[in-house]
This record gives sequence, structure tokens and C-alpha cells, in this order.
Amino acid sequence: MFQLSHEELTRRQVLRRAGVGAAVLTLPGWLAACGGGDGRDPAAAPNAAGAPVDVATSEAEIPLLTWSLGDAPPGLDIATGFVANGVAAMTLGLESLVTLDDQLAVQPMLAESWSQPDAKTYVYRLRSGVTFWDGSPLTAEDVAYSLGRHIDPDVGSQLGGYYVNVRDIRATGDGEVTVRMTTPDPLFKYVPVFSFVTQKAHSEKLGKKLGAPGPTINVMGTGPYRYTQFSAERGITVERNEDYWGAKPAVAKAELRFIANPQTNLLAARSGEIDGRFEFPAQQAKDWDRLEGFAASYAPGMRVIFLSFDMDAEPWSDLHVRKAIAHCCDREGYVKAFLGGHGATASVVVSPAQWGALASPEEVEAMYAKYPQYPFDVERAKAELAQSAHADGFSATILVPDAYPEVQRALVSLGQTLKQLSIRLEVKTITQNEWLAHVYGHEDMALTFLTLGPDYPDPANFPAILFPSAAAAKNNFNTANFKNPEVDDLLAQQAGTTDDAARVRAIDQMLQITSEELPYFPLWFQDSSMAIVEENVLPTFDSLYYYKPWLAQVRARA
Amino acid sequence: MTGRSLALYVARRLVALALLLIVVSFLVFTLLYIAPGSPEQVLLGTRPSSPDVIASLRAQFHLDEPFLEQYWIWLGGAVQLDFGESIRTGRSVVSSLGERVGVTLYLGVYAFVVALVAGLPLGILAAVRKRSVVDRTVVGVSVLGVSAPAFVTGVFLLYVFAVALGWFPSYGAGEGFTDRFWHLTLPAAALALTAMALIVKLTRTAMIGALDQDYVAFARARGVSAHRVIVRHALRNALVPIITAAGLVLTIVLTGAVLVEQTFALPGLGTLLVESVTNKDLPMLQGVAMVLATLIVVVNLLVDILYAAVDPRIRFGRGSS
Repeated sequence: MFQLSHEELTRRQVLRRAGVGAAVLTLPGWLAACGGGDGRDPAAAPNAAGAPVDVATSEAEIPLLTWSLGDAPPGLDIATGFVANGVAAMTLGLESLVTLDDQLAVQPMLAESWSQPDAKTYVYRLRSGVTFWDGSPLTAEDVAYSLGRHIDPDVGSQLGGYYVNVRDIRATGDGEVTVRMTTPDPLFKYVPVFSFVTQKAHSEKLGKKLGAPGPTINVMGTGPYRYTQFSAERGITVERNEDYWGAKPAVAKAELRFIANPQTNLLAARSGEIDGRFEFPAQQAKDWDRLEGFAASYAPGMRVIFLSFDMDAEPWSDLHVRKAIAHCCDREGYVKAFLGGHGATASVVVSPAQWGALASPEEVEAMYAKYPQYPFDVERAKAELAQSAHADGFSATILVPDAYPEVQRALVSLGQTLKQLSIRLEVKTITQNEWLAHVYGHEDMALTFLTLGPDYPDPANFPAILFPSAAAAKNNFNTANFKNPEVDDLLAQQAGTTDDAARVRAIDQMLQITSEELPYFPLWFQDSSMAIVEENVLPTFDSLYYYKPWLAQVRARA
Repeated sequence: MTGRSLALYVARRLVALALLLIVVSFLVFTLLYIAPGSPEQVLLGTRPSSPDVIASLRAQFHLDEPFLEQYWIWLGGAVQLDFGESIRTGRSVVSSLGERVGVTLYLGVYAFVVALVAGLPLGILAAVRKRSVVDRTVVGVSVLGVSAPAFVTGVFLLYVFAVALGWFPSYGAGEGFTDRFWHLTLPAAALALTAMALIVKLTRTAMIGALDQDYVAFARARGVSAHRVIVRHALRNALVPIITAAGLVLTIVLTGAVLVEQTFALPGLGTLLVESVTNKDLPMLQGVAMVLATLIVVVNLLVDILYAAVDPRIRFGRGSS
């Protein structure tokens, strides 16, 4: 049996992405690709590169899979429980209009096709013959209701931020749902990926109890699995939905356990009580790598760890100071020492993987090659600082939440380097809530640690949060107080068009400008990790695994 | 002791409990209020949101009301036993508590019994064999037990008994009485180790005191058997401090449960407490605090009533407690 090492896996994934030049779709191409509605099997997402999996798999049935989900998720309603482990539990039983494939391109799921008659309208045609677990057919009303909840102020959905440009969502015919926008929003095409559809009548009857754990199952979906138990005490149990419209998954039954403590997870795996888990901490990578009977894999991540410099405050407003700090960051060293190599150094806040289907890896590579790199070089840092108004050095404090030990270590290491420039950096550990309050509060931002996780595979995701001048305010995340009319204009341009080439140009330009002006300095992209028993494989694992019906994609190793 | 004086005594203590709960709830509320962070920030994280979304969430949880108003809203519901809904899950606090309290009670009672069953004989043994090797070993082990935090002994027990030997499961609370007994053995042992030390030390001291008394010497002189001297004469008289320790042990067990439940992935009140604090889930945190405070007060009340049964000299009059 052949063993899969992580270097191999990551290299293969890169190669796989590299082979996907054909996946760059312009708008007409995209529509054509979606119009087909070939009723394809979402369980075995096709790969434009031709090779759907990295390892040989068999069609053998897997009677039971026990998986650790980490913390107990708040519930199975996306409006109130939008956290990664919650979404990973929802994708087992609930489906959405569209899903993501291997190249992170949008693919049909409950919608067999969709079109965009104009920049402000999306029309989804529903697949026929889809039924809920109680046998009743899926209707356009159910879909319009499920998506409409996110614009209902009474629901107060956590997805509301993604629906700000939506005017209304209506069932416009038998099996047809139309979403009308107030302004064009190219990112909206990804939002249905995580807007799960539940049965309207059942959900309305439940009201606030929708998706809640308890003695009864408080959710009704159409997915490949149905929930047979959801209790805060015992975890989640799912059984295969034998009436499912798509391909039959290999795993017949799964038990999802809530084990938060990383050490306990490792011990439970060692004693054979769990078959796998996602996202173990970076410090534990070596333990999982060595764990007998398990295979750990790492996917290039889109979560970015970065620093933000307050451009309205001394000394950060001085470009030479920002460049001096950048040259003091030994990003390669940090990834190697503090992430065990399970990450990639970042040159801009957008990871190459997040370009998804918008640009080919070659195009992305060419763009990234021309951005300024700021290599680790203390002499150049000294030269930069000498040119600044703070040549004699200064003192600064940076706040890091306790949930990011690897960031703390990296910044302490940075502090050591900065001593050579007479800059004293104090790294202060705080709680996650304190850190969120600091970031939301938008006062004395100075030097701030930030991290963002991907919402969708589109390069505008983070720029739209970090760059707008209007976002340099309380409750928004332009923590650098970066105000550049040209970038504002570029953001508006890429948001106002569905022409992919124009979007690529605009995003490229704003990344160029921001990497020269340096309001933010990215350190690394964190890999997503997974460990699974050697008998089984999850060939489609990537950093957005929780958006996909991952359990239905688990296979037995041949 | 008359039935009437006992009833009066219990009634007085229950009124004190009600007042205490109000004070505790106000303190918990204030502390969480002044702690940095806000529930809607925890719910939304660093995802894009809009002023409307933030406003809608703040309105849902009454976050824009003045401080005292917010407390008043909570208190108004609480006196009608309506503890509101969890900010994190939207579920009623009472039903979440109901789901979790069973595991913690089971674990607490189990650990308590283990601590008592192991600690009492060891304490007596140490007292009887005062300053011998046995005494020093028992005291030494109990010092080790009280010094090692429960989550460390927990991981150690897990490694030895769940992974290396495979005798016990490594996580979860199990279903039904016997399965749960099986699942909770390691966590209860980890908890009991800390609590046991206290019982050993107090039993030893109390027993040494009792064994030095004249009536023990007289009993021995009369030729009463050693077993009868220890159990009937010495232990009975040493029981009051030991029962006091039992009250303390319960407090240790409940606070220790917070860490042990995390280590063994047990869905009890401790895990819920940690989740609620991390998520600034005020209604849920208040609910957990109320249950824990009530448990501790009620157990101490039972301990006080037990005193009278053990030592008839104790009366429930004014000025006694």
C-alpha cells in the first residue's frame, strides 16, 4: 500500500491546480458551463485536470465513521451558527443551490442551472425530483424562504453581511428562484454555497428552535444524510439518506463527537475511538504525522496572518518604518519553526489559492512575482529606519489572542530582531474577546495583529474588508486607516463588473498599490489540516472542506 | 432538636440562598459586562457584516439598553424561572442546563464517593499508625494528589488506562447508568485524587485528636476491641470536622469539574461554563452560575443538618449554624 506524504500531497494539489488553465472561465463560458445541468454526481466532484483523486479508492461500503468535530457547534441553522465546525456538520444533511468543486469553481447542486440576465439579477432553476427527508418535493418556495431569512431583520442572520446588496429573493415560477440585487455584486455568486436550504413549512413551525439540538431533529433538508441524533451531550449521528437524488455515499453511518481538548483528540485517535478530525493545532502536527494507523494531510490555506500599521499614527505613518519592520520579519523562518512547515509565506494578504477559478495559477504567479517582496534583511531594515523620522528607534506593543500561540512566538522572535534597530516590541497576550473588542473598537490601532479566514474563493474577499476608506471606522476592519481614492475606485470597479478579466486587472492593481504602500504586512497563510484513519481517504480535502459534503466524499482506500 | 426548629432553620437558610443568588447573579452580570468584547462581535468574528446586522443582533440581546435595565430584564425573567435564551445557540437556557446538569451531578457524586471511600480509611490508617512509614506514605501521596491539577492527572490517567491499557474510553459521558459509570470512572478518579487529599488530612488530624482523648484510653483499658475503639469511640467523635470537609470536597469537585470535563470531553456544566464565558453568552453563564451556587448552598445546608444527626449537642437555635 502506498503511503501519502504531505509534501507529495501539497505538491500534487499545486500541480493539479496548475493543470487547470482551462478552468478560467469568462462570464459567457461560466454561463455555458452552468447551463448544462448534467445531474452529475456531487460526491465525486469532477476535476478539470482529469484526475479526480490522488490515491486509489474502492467503492467498498464504510459501515461507520466516527469523527471529532472539536467544539460542539451552536446548532444546525446557518443563520445563528456560522462557524466552521457547524458548517461542516450542516453540509452532511443540508444542501444549497450550488457547491464548490476541486478548483473551487461554483457547481450545480440543488440548482441544475443558473443565469444572470443582467448584473443585478440571478435566476436559479431548481433540479427536479429532489425530495426532503419526509418525502415532500423541494419547491422554489422552500429555497426563497431559506435564502430570504438572511435579509429578514427579525432573524438577525449572521449571514446578513453577505446579503447587504440583495433587494429581494422570490420564487418566480415552478422551480425557479430569482435574486435581485440593489447593486451588482460579483461575490454574491458564492453566497448560495453556504446558504443551506431547509423545508419552509417545517422551519416555520420550529421558529427559533430551527437547527437546535434536542430530543427531536429540528431541521429538514434534502442532503445525502439525515440526522438521527443531535444532542449537546452525545454529539451528532447521521445515517445515509437512501432516497437521496444523487450518488450513494460510501459511508453508511457517521457519529460526530464533540471533543474540544487537542490532547484528548490525539489520545482518542490513538485508542481507536475516533477515525479522524479536521484542523488540529500546528504544534500538534508532528504528533499526528507520527500517529500509527492515521494519515495526516495538509491543504494550502487561505487564512492569512498579518500585521496592520495605523497610517494615521506615528511612527507607523512613516513608510520607511513600515518597510523596516517588514524587512525584519523572517517569514520563512517563522513558517518552518512555528508552523512545522505547514504554511506558506505570504507576499500579499490574498493567498494564490483564493483566486479560485478567476485566474489561472500561471497568471497568479506572474502577478505575484512583480509585487515587492521585502526579504528578511536586517541591514536593509536598518537603512530604511535611518531614512525615517524615527531613526533612534521607539517602543510599541502588539496584542495577540491566546488562541494563536504560533503567532505569539513569531512576534516574540520579531521583537528580538527589532532590538537591533532599537525598536522595543512588547508582545501582550489577551483573550480572543479582548482582541475582537480592540479590532471592532477601532481606537489606537497602532501595530495590530490580524487574521482573516476565507468566506469564498475569490481574491476580492479580503481586499473588500481591509482596503475601503469607508471601512476605516468602528465595527469595520480597515484597521490600518488606509485611505487611497485610487484603491477605492478599483474596489468599486471590480465590484461593478462581472467581466472576469477586468476584475483580475483591478484586483492586481490594488494588490500592487497596497504592497508598495504597505498598510498591511502579511506573514503567512496557514495550512488546513486533517487526519483520517489509513483505511479511508477524503480525496477532495482542501481548505474550504467545510463548504462541501465531505462525508459523502469519504472513500475506502483500495 | 424539634421538627419546628429544623423547619425554621431550613427556611431561614433558603431565604439567605435567595439573597445570595441575587448577589451572585449581579456580580456575574457586572463582571461579564465590564469584560472586554461584545456578544455580537463573538458571533460575527472578523467576517464582513453590516450596520444593520450588528444593530439587529444588539437589539435581539438588549445590548443597547442601559446596564441596570439589562440586569432588570434578566432578573424579571429569572424570578419566573425563565432564564432566557442562549446568545450562542438561541436555545432556552433551562433546557440546555437540564441536558448538562446530569453529567456533572453524576461525576460529582461519583468523585465524592471515591474520595470518601478511599480517603476515610487512609486517614484513619494514617492516624492509627501515626508517624510510621504508612502514615508518611499516605500523607505524601495525598500531598501529591492535592498539588497535581486535575487536568494533568486526567491526561496521565487517560494515557495509562485509555490508551496504553485500553481499559476505559478516553472521552464522552456514555448513555444509561452502567455505560456512564464506565465512561466517568477516569474523570471521577482524576477529580477524586485532589479531593481525597483533603479528606485524608482532615480525617487524620481529627482522628489523632480523638484517639488522644481520655475516653479512648479508658475504653482501651476496659479491653474494648481496637476496631470498636476506632469506629465507635474515636471516629464518631471525629466526624464533625470530617463532614465539614465533605462540604468543601463538593466545592473542590464542582470547580475541578470545569477542567476535568474539558479534558475528558464531557458535556457537563463545566464545559458549558467555559463555552459561555468564551462566547460572552450572558444568559447561559447566569444560568450555570445559579445552578452551581444553589448546589453548593444546598449541600452545605445538608451538611449542617447532618451535624445534628452525628452530634446531638448541636442545636438549630439562633446563633448556631
